[in-house]
Amino acid sequence: MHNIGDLTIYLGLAISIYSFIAFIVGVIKQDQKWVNSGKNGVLTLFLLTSITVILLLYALATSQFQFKYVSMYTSSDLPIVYKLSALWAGNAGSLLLWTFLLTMYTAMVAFSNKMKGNPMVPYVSTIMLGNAIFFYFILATTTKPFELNDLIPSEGNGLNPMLQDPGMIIHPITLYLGYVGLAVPFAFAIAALILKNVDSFWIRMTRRWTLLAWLFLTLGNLLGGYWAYLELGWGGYWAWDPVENASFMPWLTVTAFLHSVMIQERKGMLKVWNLSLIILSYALTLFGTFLVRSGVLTSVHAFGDTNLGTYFLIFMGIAVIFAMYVMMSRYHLLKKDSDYFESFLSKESSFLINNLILVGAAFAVFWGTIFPLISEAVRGTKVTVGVPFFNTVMSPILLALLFIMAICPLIAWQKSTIKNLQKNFLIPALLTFIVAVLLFTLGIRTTYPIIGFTIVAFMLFTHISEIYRGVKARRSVTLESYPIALIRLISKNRRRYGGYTVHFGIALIAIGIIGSQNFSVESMKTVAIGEKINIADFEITYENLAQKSEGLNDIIFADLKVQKNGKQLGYIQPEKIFYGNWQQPSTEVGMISSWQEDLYIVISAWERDLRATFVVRVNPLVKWIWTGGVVVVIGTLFAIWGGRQNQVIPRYRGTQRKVT
Amino acid sequence: MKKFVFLLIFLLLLSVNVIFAEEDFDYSSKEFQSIVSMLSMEGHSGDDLATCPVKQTYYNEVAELMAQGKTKDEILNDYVDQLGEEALAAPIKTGFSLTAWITPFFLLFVATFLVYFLIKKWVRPNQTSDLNREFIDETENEILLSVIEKERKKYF
Repeated sequence: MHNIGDLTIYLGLAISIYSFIAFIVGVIKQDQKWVNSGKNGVLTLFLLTSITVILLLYALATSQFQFKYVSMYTSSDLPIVYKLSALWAGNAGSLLLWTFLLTMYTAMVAFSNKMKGNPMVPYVSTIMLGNAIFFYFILATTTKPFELNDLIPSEGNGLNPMLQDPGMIIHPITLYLGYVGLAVPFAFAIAALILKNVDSFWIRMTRRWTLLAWLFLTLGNLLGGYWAYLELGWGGYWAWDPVENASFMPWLTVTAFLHSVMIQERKGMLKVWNLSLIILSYALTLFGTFLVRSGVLTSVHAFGDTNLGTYFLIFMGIAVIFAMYVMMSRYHLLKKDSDYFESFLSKESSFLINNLILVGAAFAVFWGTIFPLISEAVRGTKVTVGVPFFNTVMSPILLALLFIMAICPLIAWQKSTIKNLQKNFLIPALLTFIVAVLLFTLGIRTTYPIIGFTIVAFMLFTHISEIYRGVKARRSVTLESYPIALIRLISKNRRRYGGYTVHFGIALIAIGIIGSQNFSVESMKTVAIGEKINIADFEITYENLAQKSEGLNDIIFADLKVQKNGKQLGYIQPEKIFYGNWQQPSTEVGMISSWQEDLYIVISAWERDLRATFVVRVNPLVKWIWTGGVVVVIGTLFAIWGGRQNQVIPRYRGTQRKVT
Repeated sequence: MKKFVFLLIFLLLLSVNVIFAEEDFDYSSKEFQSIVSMLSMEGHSGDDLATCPVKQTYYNEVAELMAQGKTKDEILNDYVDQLGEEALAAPIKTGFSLTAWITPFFLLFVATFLVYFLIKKWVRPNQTSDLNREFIDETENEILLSVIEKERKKYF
């Protein structure tokens, strides 16, 4: 099996190089046979990568400890689902997964029905294969998934208990789908430049791909936060860890891209900017991978293989320099046929401001992430740039972003007038004012929450107002009932209303973040059996401490009765799990979650007389974050699938070629 | 046996914590939180307090210093004196570290001007002729188009 595994990787490297060359020869000679051969190579490559993945999964599932990777990340007592998810627990496996997804995307693009007769296909495939060659090179030379142990251990190290969680099965794979998915619009952008076809064709062709990558990045980040909240026991969901930042930065730039492409589609403007954004987003995914693999920054996520980081840095450099060179060599074409803005006050302008803030936010995160390195280089001191820095710097920027999200929908395309704005904003502004007064009356006096909640309320009101205006206008012409008018209005333009649904989701997430960041309370108390802990409106009675066994694990747990304002809410059981083959015990949080707040309890310590110490937190509105995430997903899926506009394949108007 | 040893070590480690907790110190106070949130705790500030001995040690120290009547600045300065700037979870706001704080805002400020001038440059020069042009409402435009489409299907 070792030989077969290695063979599939070497063959994969050879075939990716062959297909890469075949496409280039096909393009130069304008010979369809070469291009077809390259396409067959892509399909073979995908099948081969699938075989490699299946082989490694089989080795993991059957505990074949002769393989280093298997013995490092699994043990024989591990449940099968975690044995399989160990595929992405280490460097070699996760890079193999990356390669698999990359070849899958390449095959999907090359054999897509929508791509029939499209001369961009050989170029796009070549660029994506360039990536595949790099990953195969890494797998074949540096990080071998099928490397053998010198001595076969009788038992493996096991999987880090923190990774033994359903969230951890999905979180990495969604992030990878997002990361790798960005290679598709990047490849299209570069192919468009090479072909000198710089209209918005490549943007229309990749809209769904980009949205899909964005959706997976969103999901990956949210699931990561959800897992951290439930599994790490520190009561938070986002720590501004360098690797979290690494996935947040491309999310911000792709969000900017998804907005600014609308201006290119409508007016043929911002071509250079859109290309720069997609190049930047792609480069940031490689930068993120560099951060994870290099170990240059301290992070809970880091794999810490310095050599690998260097490879990624070099590859990122080559990709960015190549992309910038191609873009600059077509600069004269990109500047041609640009339209004008009709007015200073227009949706176009508001999108530019939105882009400014999103890219500014991405820069702020980038700057904070690399500042320790800069500081070390300049002063020899590696300062820590953690939560206080990011919270301080990012809060005003993200609030400004929410404000722009609030006003954008009500500004007309091309030209808006002051009168028009007054008409559109009057009611939402009045309602927002009432909300602000209500918040103040309810006792919220701190600046950020008041501003934050007010802006979110404004955003919700402007969106509702915009939808209501649409329904009203539709009814006045069609005489449909309100629900029918609403359904038809939305289903006629899924892209736009899917976008608004995403905004609603972001608003819910913002409510959760503002609430939990500003109003959480925490306490740590040691209590004897029968004693109570009082926090916020909760009364928690410590009733019992016991031990149980689950498989090879020993679990210490406490029974806690929870009452709120005298009303019984039930029992919760925080646990501490001790693993047979892992030094650190892990935490299972005891939690009661509601729309208002989460009661979050961690068992900290205990003594022979059964006194126990608990860390108790009340985290307000956290559930809104997860609910907002679901709404974002629904909105994005709504914008991606179906609808009349999605059935239309854009027409290629660029340089014609004999090969497709 | 191995598991028992781990369990024992863990309990011993936590006994320190229990002694601290016995004082019934409620660290949900804003002052306490504002101090501990500013400490990097050797990279353990994001850890679970229940299981992280490093974080527990810092919490104990801060509680002790607060009990001695020291202010937030004094406590943070004590740590910086002992461990350097690395003791803090964010760069200080003087000297070179100040650039960490101001660079993002400075660039945003510059970029705002850039965007302003770009929009100014891109606004159609002969806009006086368009003054009477009605603004285009996207929603109404879409509805109009869908009605036309419906009528077209109905009659043609």
